[in-house]
Amino acid sequence: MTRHTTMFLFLAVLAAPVMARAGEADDLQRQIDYLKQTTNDLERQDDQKAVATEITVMRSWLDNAWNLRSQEKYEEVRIILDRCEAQAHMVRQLLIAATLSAQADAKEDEVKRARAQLARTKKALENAKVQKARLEGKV
Amino acid sequence: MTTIIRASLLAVLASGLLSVGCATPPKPRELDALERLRLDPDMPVARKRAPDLCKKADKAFSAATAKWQSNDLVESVNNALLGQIFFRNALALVKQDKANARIADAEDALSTIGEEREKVQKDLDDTNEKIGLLQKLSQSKAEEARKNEEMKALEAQMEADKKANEEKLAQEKLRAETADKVSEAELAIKTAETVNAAKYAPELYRSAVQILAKAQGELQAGQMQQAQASAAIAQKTAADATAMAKPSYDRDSQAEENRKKADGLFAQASGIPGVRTRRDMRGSLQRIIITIPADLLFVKRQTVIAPGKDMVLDPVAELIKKKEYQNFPVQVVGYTDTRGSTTSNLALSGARAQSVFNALVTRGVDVRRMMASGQGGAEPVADGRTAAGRASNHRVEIVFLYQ
Repeated sequence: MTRHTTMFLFLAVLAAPVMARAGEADDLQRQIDYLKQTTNDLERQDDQKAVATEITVMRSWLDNAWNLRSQEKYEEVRIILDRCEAQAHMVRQLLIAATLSAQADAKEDEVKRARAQLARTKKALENAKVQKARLEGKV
Repeated sequence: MTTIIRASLLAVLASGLLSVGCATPPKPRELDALERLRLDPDMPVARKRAPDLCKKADKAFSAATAKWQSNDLVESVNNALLGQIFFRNALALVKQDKANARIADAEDALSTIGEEREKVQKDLDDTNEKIGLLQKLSQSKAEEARKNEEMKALEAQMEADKKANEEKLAQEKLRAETADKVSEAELAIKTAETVNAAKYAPELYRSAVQILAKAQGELQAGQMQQAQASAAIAQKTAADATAMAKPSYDRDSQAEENRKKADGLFAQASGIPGVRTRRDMRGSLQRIIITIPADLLFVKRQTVIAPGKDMVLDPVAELIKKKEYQNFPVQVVGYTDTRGSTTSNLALSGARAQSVFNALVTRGVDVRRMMASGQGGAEPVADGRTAAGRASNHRVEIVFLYQ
């Protein structure tokens, strides 16, 4: 081993933890950015404003994570990001539930209308039968 | 005793200090919220629906509780939040299932309602179709009844019209018959007028005219029976007037005709040369007399027409034979003057008349129309004291008689 090689290895050993931390910070930043983008996407999908609170909370969490990352509290950031991932998943399920509930409401309204229509048709049938009986009596 | 109390107080103090040193901090509200979530009525369902999530949540709850109890509030809150997320996620899935179930129920209900509505609608359509048919039938019957009513009304109207027409025709016929009767009466009066009944049967004629006027008035007034009766009386009266007037009318007509003929005869006779013609009246008879002087026919006192002297008789005979004078009887009368005996004069005049008579017969005059006679010296036409007068009194007269 040459002296230069030895020096290189020595410096590499010294720089490794620093480089590792720098990579972790970038990785967390990408995750934060990704989750922010996810938050925006979820907000766009929330046309009923069913999960507005959850999205607001998630944004505040991400802001907190961003601050903690700046403070290089990576472990705490990771915990918050895990929670945000779970929150994003939950929000998706809530959005689906809200959408399905809205569809169910619409369907039930449709059922109500159909029942009302059926009732009107039945009433019309009753009236028609009365009219028919009267006409049969006349004819 | 004091020792025991002191020991007890020390024990209490010690336990108090211990409890203050090991005191649990206030429960984070995130943990409270998590506990409330665990008591959600849908949680049993959520645990069945998403057991993994609930297991993670339970684990987070345990960790949060433990961290809280160990005074690690940050970790407690982190776990509590994570547990909430897991539980809420599980509950969201339950909510999805419920919504799906509602959708399915609603679709089932819609399907059922749709089927029922289809059936009811079909019944309604069928019923409405039958109603339509019944209405048409009803309308048809009503229309038929209306037409029957109209037909009956029309028939009644036609019957009434027919009756009215018959009555009108009967009236017209009666009126025509009456008018005929009146016309017949008018004709009878006209007939009476042709025989100048106003002159020859004035009372009957006036009566007929008056009765006819009455009949015409009754006809105008529509009193047909009375008009017919009046017309019949008028006709009868007019016929009577005609019958009464006709002989007089015929007689006067004949006389008038004869007068006209006589005028013609006189004019023609006046044209015969050598003779004299005159007219006179004897009783009801009219006479045209052609006087032929005796010396124009005879020599001296002879009774035979001298030869060559009978030419004057030719136009006389032609005149007598003319058709228009066939109904005029003709007398051939001889006359003399008054000298000598009456007997000889009568004989001479008679013989001469007979000679002329014969000569006329010889010329074709019908013997049945004539008669001859001698009047001697009667009816002289001139003064017998002079020779010229006596010569004039010797004559033969051809006398045409008419009324």
